[in-house]
Amino acid sequence: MAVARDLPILIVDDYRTMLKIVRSLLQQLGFTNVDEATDGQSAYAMISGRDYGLVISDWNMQPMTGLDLLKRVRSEPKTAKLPFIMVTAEAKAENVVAARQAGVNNYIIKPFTQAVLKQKMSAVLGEI
Amino acid sequence: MSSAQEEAGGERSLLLAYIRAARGALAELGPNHLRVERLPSAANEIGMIVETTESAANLIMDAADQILNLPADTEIQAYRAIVEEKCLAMLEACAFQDLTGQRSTKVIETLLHIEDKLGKLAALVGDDEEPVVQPRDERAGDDVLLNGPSMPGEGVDQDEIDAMFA
Repeated sequence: MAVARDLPILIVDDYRTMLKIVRSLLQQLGFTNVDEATDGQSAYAMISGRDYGLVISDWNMQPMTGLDLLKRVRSEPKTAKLPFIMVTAEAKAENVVAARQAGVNNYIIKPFTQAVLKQKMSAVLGEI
Repeated sequence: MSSAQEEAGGERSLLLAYIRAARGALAELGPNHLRVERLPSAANEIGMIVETTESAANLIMDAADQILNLPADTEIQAYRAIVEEKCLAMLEACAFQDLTGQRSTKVIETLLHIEDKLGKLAALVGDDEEPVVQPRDERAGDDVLLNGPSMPGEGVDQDEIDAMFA
């Protein structure tokens, strides 16, 4: 079954330019129900208040990193299974391992293309 | 004067000469000039690089968005004119590469200047051997995982990450 295009998606990045890029790429894929947060803390507050179908988050943010956000999301029964994709410039193997151990569903290295985003979203959510 | 006194006097002269040379090298390093002018200037250049690239990226994305969101029934001549106008805007925005390149060069010059002066100072005080021990990373926990974009050849690529998720 195809993924509903009205799926609520939260994108998290401290660079507004990246938020704009990801939003545009999602829009071209047909996803328009997109919210934005600029750090892990505000993202967590938003996740607590709305049932998102996917979180796409940067890692390197302050005061709460994307990894901290992921761990917090996984620690709450209500959001423990929320699909979570990390999009980051952190490209060391130990980063990927740490994110996997924390329960990330997929991991994208910046810079990336729309094709890669679509592929990883399909891997997490089902065919797009 | 005894030979012991002569020896002490000689050592004192050597020590004074060493101190004078060290003071000269420190003066040449120009710590106050670095602190007041060159380092703040380099920090400003880096700030401008961030600002310039963000502005250019936004301009390019806005132009692309406007093209992608043109109504499907736009008449072909009007469509062509808008696409040409927006593509030109994107090309113009790409001038950021030149601007940020020049700013980066200034920052690199400051770093090379400091490296050169510190190298001379290190040689003077006899600290010219390669450091054996790397500076300790004081970070702990997950913080050690935050290192920013990797340099070419470091880290893993998307294919290797995909393999870890397979």
